[in-house]
Amino acid sequence: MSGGPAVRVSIESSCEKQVQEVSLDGTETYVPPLSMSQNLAKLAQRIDFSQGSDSDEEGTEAESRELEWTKQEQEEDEGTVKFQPSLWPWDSVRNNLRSALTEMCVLHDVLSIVKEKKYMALDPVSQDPAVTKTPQVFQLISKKKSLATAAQILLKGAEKLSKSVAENQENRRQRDFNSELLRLRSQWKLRKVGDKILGDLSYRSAGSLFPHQGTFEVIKNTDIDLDKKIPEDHCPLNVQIPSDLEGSAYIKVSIQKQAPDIGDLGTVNLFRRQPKTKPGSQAWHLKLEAAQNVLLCKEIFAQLSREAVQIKSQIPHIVVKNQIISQPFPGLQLSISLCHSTGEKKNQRASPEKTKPDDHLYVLEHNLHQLIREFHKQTLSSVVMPHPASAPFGHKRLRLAGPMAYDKAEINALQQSEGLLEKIIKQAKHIFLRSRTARTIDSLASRIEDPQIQAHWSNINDVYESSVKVLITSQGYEQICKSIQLQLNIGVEQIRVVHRDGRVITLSHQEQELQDFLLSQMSQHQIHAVQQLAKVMGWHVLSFSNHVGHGPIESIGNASAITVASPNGEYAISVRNGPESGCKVLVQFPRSQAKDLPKSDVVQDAKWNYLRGLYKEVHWSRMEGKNFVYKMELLMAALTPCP
Amino acid sequence: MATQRVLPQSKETLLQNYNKRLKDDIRSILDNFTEIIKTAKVDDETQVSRATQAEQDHYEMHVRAANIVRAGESLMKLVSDLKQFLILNDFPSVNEAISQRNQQLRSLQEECDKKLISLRDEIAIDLYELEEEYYSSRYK
Repeated sequence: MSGGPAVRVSIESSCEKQVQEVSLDGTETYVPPLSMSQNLAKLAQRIDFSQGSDSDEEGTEAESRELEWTKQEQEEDEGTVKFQPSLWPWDSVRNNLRSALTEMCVLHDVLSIVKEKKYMALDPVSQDPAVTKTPQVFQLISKKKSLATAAQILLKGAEKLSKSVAENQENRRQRDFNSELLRLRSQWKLRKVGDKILGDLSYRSAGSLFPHQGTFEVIKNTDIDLDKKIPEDHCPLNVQIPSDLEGSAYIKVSIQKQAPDIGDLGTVNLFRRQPKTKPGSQAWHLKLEAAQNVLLCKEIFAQLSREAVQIKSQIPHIVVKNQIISQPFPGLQLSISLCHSTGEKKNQRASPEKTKPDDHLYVLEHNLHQLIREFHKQTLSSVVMPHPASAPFGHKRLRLAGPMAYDKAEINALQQSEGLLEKIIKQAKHIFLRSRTARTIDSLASRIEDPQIQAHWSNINDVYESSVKVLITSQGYEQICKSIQLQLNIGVEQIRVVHRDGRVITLSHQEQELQDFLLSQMSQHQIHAVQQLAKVMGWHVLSFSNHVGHGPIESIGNASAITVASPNGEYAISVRNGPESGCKVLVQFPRSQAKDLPKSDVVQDAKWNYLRGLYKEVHWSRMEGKNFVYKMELLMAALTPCP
Repeated sequence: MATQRVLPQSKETLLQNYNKRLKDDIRSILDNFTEIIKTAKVDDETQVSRATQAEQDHYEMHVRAANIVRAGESLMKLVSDLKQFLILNDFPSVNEAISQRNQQLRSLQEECDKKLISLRDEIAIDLYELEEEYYSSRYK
């Protein structure tokens, strides 16, 4: 197919002209046949040059190919001849061909020049890497590095977070701040102020009016090395209590007497033990409880000292520093003191304290705590209780005062309310009186063996009242000698004695009064015993008197006397018993047995022999028998004639 | 529990504040991460010199990574704050704890009272006998 540049192009015209139009007269107008150049131009316009010319080098070849192609086209499209108006039909072909030619010429020139190597040598251009490639590589490296550092930071942060989470999970088994806080919250009042968590350990919500703030701060305990093993007792939560509530405090109530006869009034020797750590409780809990206790003690003491100053009493109460001194009875001193020791001092002082006898009145200390709580409750209930807006909500009995027409004294009695100090002094008085009564009875019982004294203390007591039952009996004759049974009601200021027959005697707090009373009762008991014995022995009671009006005057009470006669009336025994003078027993013999009786001229008749004779005193101390009633029984038996 | 408790104003704002902190932190994490990714792209056109740009990018990534970590830690703090808030303001559970404790203490008190009374009775009986024995003995 290839050949020289001159390619023969054979062009044939169509055999028949095409009819353009048929006129009305029947004449056909033919389309004038295209000239050769016109036809070529028309065909050439249909050629897509960009498709055909694939390489510049083969320009001529392509040209020939194109021409050939156009020829084929021309042959194909022979049937459908189109008229394409074109100003310069070969224009695009020419242009393309020309530019192709130009390119080819240039290429040819260049190639020839290069080939010759005479004028010009082709060298590869050394491209500078710093200028084009390097910035991007540099950038890439730097970005990579930056990303690596950023990733490292992120990883480090993530590691830290996961570590803390794992730690939390591990801690959860033991102790964790939040669970501790929850436990704390369930037992104490907490609130958040700013960043701090503050708690309240005052008794204000329970009705206390003490102005102390009583706030503590909850601190997260973070001063522990995370890498080291956490000790078992480590608590992540700590509390900080006000410095004035640190340590431990207690109220000490004691009674001192100038004379030493009072002995130890402290009921039991209870050593103050260090509070033992309960297994379930936390360190903070103990700390808070101790602080609360300090606060309560302070409140009690403040209340007591305020009352001590306000109350007018005959002997003024003295408030010195942390001690209140009062005199409930003459010669007796009640001291209430607030002992507050901080932790360090306590350890030093602990050892001498144990050796020292404890003179605490624990009961009173306990009662003080109870009283202040009662006081709290009172204020709380009076505040909270719904009440009419128009008037204060007074006492119920006071509201009844109008309808019941109370007089002034009764209303005064209603309105009187006792303070803490008064109550505690009353209690102290009662305790003192009670212990003194017990001591009096016991000392009498040990001093006097005949008759016996038995005391039975009642187990049902009040803080202001307790009772003891005193029985005076004779040993071995308990069943027949039950005459003296005394009920001693020990109050605050006085002792009321209730006899078996219902008589009531009121004794003051003086020890001597009770002692004297008991002595006189004992002496009466002996006479009563003789009376009972006479009944059992079949003797007749001739006379009986609890209070004999003649004879020597006793300094304590009165002497009592009895006269009994033997069953057949021959003998008579007369007993006189005084609390101080002791007993005196006389036996009267029948006249017939009296040998030394002077014969009377007047009384000659034998019947007068049945008259009573003279009295003779019995040497009572020389009588056989272990006690008075036994001796009396023996005497009576001896004087009773055998049947 | 359908009843929505009415919270006081300060609590309301506090809770909203927590919500805001949560959203802020999460957005901060997301934004910073996106920015890091954006900065990681290598582009040729820069106004400043390559070294400066690199340094700036390095620094920016550094800061942004640190920001992500900070936001994460802040979220942890938020969690702990929320826990604390719940613990401190969960009054129903506190009330429950109080009533439970109350009940517990009451039963303890009852038990103690019972024991004390029985102890007192026993001692009273023994004391009566002992007193009788003591006062009729010779060793007083």
